Amino acid sequence: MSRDRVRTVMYVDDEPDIREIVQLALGLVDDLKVEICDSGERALQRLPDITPDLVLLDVMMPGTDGPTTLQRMRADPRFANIPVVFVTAKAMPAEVARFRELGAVAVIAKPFDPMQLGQQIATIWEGLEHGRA
Amino acid sequence: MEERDELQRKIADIAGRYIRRTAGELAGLRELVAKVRAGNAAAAKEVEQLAHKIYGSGSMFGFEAVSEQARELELAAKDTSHPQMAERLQTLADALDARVQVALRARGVQ
Repeated sequence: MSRDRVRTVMYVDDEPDIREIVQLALGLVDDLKVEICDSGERALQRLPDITPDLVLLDVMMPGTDGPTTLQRMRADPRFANIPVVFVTAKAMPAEVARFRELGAVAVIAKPFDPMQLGQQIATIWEGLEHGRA
Repeated sequence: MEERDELQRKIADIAGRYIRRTAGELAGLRELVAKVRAGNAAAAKEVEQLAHKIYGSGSMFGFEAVSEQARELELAAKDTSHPQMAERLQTLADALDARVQVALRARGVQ
């Protein structure tokens, strides 16, 4: 569904401190609903209830990692079209290219500036909207 | 602006918590390295994951030296074909420990 701005974001990371930072940072964005999950498995369980506009995935997580979570989303018609952004410390150009090949629409590198995270997400969303137009 | 100041303050609090927790995780890291030295190759993967976690979060909270040292450890744990991998892991884990202790002291935590 095309929307002028992102309204619901799911953030998935096994790191409690980073989850808290993201929750706080995105809490500054007006009218943005943020769903936080601590694992890929949990995210896959929550997706049917949340149906977010955008999913932000940490790459390296125990159990179901980011790429596996993305793969499973793409295999499910209900979630196959939800854009996924990887958030990772593994942001070397070759790795970014690999994540794009896996189907990520963008990559946000760690460390990111919490003050700018909302704007980064808005910019990614605008890019997606332009692509749809 | 007030909201942003509040966010900065909370981030500083979380950073303090992070470095204290990381110090607590070093005992587990030492155990994992000991397992690798004892021939448990699977433990290297756990070293890699723990080091990656410290690396990623450390840079988020401004602990650059801790983060860089953890990155070296992560890469060494991945390099399973290295003939002296276990010894390298030990050296790098010790170096990480030292970096964490420096960061703790800088925050007035002993």
